[in-house]
Amino acid sequence: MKLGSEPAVTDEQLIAGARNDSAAVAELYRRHYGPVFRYCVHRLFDRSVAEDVTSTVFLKMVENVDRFRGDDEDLRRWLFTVATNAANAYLRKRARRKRLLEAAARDLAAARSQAGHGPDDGAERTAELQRAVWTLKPRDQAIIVLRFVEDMKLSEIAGIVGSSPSAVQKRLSRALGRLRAWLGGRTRSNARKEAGDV
Amino acid sequence: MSEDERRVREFIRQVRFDDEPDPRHRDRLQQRLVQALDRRRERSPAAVAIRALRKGARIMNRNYVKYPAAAAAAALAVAIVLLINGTAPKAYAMSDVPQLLRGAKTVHLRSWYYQQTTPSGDRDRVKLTAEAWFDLDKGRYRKIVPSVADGEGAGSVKQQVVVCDGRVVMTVDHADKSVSYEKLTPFQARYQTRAGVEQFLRRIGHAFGPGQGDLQTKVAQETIEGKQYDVYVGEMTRGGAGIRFRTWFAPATGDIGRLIVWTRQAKGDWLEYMGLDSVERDVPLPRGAFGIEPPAGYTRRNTPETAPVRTLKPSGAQLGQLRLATFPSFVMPDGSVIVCWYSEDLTAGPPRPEVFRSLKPGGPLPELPIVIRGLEPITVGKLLDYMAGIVAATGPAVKPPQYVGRHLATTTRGGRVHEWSLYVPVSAAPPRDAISTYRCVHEFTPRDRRVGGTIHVALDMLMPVGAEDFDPFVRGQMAELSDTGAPKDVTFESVVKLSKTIRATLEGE
Repeated sequence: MKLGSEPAVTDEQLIAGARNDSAAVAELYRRHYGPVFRYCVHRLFDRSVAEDVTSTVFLKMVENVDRFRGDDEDLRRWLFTVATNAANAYLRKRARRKRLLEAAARDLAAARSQAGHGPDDGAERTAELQRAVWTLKPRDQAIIVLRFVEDMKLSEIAGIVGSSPSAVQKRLSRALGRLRAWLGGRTRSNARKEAGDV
Repeated sequence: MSEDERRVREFIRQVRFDDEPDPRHRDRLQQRLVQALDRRRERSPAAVAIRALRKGARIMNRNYVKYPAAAAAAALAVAIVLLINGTAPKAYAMSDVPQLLRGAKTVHLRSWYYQQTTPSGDRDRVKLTAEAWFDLDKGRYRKIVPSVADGEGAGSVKQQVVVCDGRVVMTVDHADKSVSYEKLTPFQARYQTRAGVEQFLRRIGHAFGPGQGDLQTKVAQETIEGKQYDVYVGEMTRGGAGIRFRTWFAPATGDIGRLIVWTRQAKGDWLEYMGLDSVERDVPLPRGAFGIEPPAGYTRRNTPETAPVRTLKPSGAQLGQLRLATFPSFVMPDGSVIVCWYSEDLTAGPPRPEVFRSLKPGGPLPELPIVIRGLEPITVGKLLDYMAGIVAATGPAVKPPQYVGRHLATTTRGGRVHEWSLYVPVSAAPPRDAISTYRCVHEFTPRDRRVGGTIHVALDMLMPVGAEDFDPFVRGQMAELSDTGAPKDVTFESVVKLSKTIRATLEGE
């Protein structure tokens, strides 16, 4: 997957230059910061934590840039792998996960209470998705987000989570089944609402 | 595509994430990456060896190293020492944090705190976030300060931006899209910059003051933006009131990664009180941070050229026609406190010069209508006593005072005489960074004066000073409050000596 228009200097050239040139590292960083940060927000639903995890990702990039071999696709996959692992590590801590779920429940309740005051129920929808996704194991959360938010192919996801495409497909089906249980009522009511609007 | 997949995809399509990157975080992280790269290169074996060989080459050039073998051995020895020293970590304590920040060239802070939006009840609170950059070297600052409006639009949050370029301060009023300017003297620009850091330190002093670190227990290690911090928790309680901290601290660098403080009133719940999202020192400041051009579309109420010069204004209290005024105060390394103050009876006008004529350094204070006889230090423990209702916050200060006042000097500006007094602790003083403020122990004179009521005055601006910054700050303020400059005989050494003499006298009494 390419990032916007084709750059004059490829990531591969920048990676080669990054071993001796801070400017090349800075350029790589500028190219990849946005996508990595957004992915972290989509995983963690919290900008501040996402900033921390994004920082971890790029500091690791600086640590390992000398040893890195590959092209821009490889670098992007590697950055998403590091981000996935860092986000998983963050979410795996039991107490933290419990706290996050409780916070998500509070956000959901707050969003629901606010939803009645206006036509926009975006906050409720976000909170509902957050709570639903966080009931999954971190590895499955990653697959769901990479597939449906980052819009990646199964082969790309497999490269990031270190698995085969068929294994990713199986996990995806199971995770979808669980999500359906959480989101089912919601999607049905939306369908009714949309039908009524027509 | 399965039905499940279609439904989830459709659901997610309608979710709006707040995922737009913050350019400030992006820029800060980029700076950190460049620094990390530089450090890595500095630490690389090749770089260490090159430095060692360079040092060895310098040794080799000296006359006493005659032989190549000896030179090689010397270079190797230096390389080994460098390697060992390079890896020996220096550990900081939490109590080092205030001094590290004061000693920095630049400081960048992001903090938050809660403020009540209505006078009643802790529940009506709003979270306010603030950000500030300080260039301590050049006396420049930029502060984004929120506040809760009162009067019209009460309860709404306003943000004020104040920028000082070292000579002129610009205040941005977002409400009517205008800016106004004031000129600062070099002393004021430098003082205000340092005072910004000091105000912040007083807010967090209960977490980082000397001894407070001992109350905190290390519970975990966490990484913030790629840097490892020890996580400490601590709690102090008195009669149901309390303060609780969670602190992310890196002993290797003395940096604070994050801080959350909770407080509890005597019969209340723990509530978040304030916190820090980042504290950075000696970081490059954003380009244009101290620019005083108005934002696009904003009008100027005046110009930097025509702006009035800010005068140093006192704070204080008034009771009937009696007024007590205090200026920013300075805390010496031995704990003694220099306070500039004056008082007057508004019905009688400024005190006559004769009142000051017979004063001598170390001698009694002038008999003005209200006299600050002494001071009472307020530490976090005392604040908790107030919160718990163990001690009345507005009651009279402790007598006899724990700090006794003696005359130091006077300065006169525009016909007004300012008294400079030195308050010396009777016994061992608490460490400077453990003190939130000092309450003034005052008396009305003459002693038979009939006064209905009393006043409560605390020193609201404190700055610790040492030998290196006594002149710019203490003598700087003296010059600011004088028509003829700072008194020549008031120096850091003379004040230290006078403080010792007064203490010896007090011990003998």
